[in-house]
Parts: sequence; structure tokens; C-alpha cells
Amino acid sequence: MTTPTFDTINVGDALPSLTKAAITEVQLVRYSGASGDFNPIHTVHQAGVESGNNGVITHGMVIMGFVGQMIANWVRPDQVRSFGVRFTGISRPGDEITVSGKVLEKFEADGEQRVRCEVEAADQTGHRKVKGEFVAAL
Amino acid sequence: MLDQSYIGKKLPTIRYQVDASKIRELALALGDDNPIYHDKAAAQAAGYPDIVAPLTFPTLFRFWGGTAAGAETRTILQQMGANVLRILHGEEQYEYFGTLHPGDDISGELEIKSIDRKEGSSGAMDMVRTQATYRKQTGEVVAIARATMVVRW
Repeated sequence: MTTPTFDTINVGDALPSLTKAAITEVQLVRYSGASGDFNPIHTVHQAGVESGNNGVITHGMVIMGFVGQMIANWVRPDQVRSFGVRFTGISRPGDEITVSGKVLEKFEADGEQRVRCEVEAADQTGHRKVKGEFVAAL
Repeated sequence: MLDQSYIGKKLPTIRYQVDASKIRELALALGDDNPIYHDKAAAQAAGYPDIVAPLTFPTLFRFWGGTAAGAETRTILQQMGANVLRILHGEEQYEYFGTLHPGDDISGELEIKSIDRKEGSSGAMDMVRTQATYRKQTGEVVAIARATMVVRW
């Protein structure tokens, strides 16, 4: 993996996208255990129904985790200065998420050359799940 | 109506000991096979002292890091009057000041910054904004995490 450099990156450049395998119910159980987020709407069918959904829904943080994976495939985690997302849609088991992004700005701050990038995740039908930004030092 | 007295209230301290198995467990749950999360030698070859935590790892602090002290986000929202089944995650945001590795002993205090009532087409909802500053045992701030939880009624 080659880490991008400030001089070779241009505003508007697309970041390498990441397409994940379809989300599974077992994955939500694993994420609950890993994260400690045991809200039953993510793992118990009846709780998902009672919450107003047809069944279990994905933790938003699973989708943000996919976005984090895409970012850390492009730059190293220690280069990331900030990362934030807004959750705009609910994901369910079976959804196949693709994460994409592009460079919005190149700037200098705190003596570092940095880029600000837009990221988003959408399912196989193009329905957006999260939208956000990160800043990385290059 | 959520209990507004929680805004700015001192909540129990979050404590979390980062270890290699939890870093790997999170990466495995996400299906992220980047070797810097799994293999110490690979992480060291990349310049880290040990395996490094994925970018979304700090969110574990307010769940697992709060269970013993009663500082878990969901517990607090329940105490404030929310129905757990009606909570959605609105936003999550991190500022990073360093990386997280096995052996880091994290402490932090979660603060409810604001509660804003919104009237939507499907009824009222409260936007609860939280912020936590996480420090290593050295006192060094490693991350600031902000979240917005949406409580529907």
C-alpha cells in the first residue's frame, strides 16, 4: 500500500472506494460484543419490530467502521486528525455497503499539510447511510 | 420529556483498558483485515509500537468503559427517561491527538452538552449531544469524541 503525498493529491480526486460483503445478522451480534452496544434492536428480531422496524437494524457504528476501514486503507490511522459522520439512513442485514470519498480541500494547519475529504456510504441501491468528513495530515 | 438536569451534570468516570484482543475483535466484527490491527510484527513494521486501534475504537469507551460505573450511554439515556427501543444514533465525531495501543489505560468523563427538541413528521424527538475527552494514564489527551443520540417518543 502506498500512502498518498500532499503534492500528488488534488482537490476533487476520488479516494479508493471500498465495497463490503453483505451485512449479516451474525455480524451484528459480533459487533455488539466487540463494542459493548447491546441495544436489542440490533440483535433481537422482536425488539426490532417493536422499535418500528421490520426486524433488526444495523448499528450505525458498523457503517462508520466500514468508512474508517476505507480511510485507513488510504492513509495510516496516525495521520487522521478528525473524523465525523452523520447517520442518514438505516441499514439492515443483506445490505451491501460501498464507501466512497473525495478530496475537498488542501490546507496547512499546526505546521502540517492536511487534506479535508468527504466520505459517504451507500447500499447496493444507492441509498445513502452515512455522510461525513475527515482530515488527515499527509 | 428527557430529564434536563443531566445537561452539564457530572456523570460516573469511564474507564477502559485497551487490549490486543478487543482491537482484533472490533476489526474482525467489521471484516477489516488490515494487518496493523491484527499482527504486532506488521504494526511494528508500519512504525507503531504494537497493534493500533481502528478509527472508531473510542466509541467502545462509552459502552464497555461505562458498564462497571453505570456510565454507559444507554443506561444514562434510560435514566433520563428514554425508551431504549426508540433511540437512534444521529452523529459521531472524533478528534484524534494520538493512537491507541494495547496497555493504554483510558479514563474519560461523558458530558451531556445539550438537548434540543425537534418536532418531526413522525412526532417529537430530542437530540442529545454528548462529548467526552479521553486521556491515557500519562494524562495525555488521546481523543475527544462527540455524539448525537436521537431519542424518539
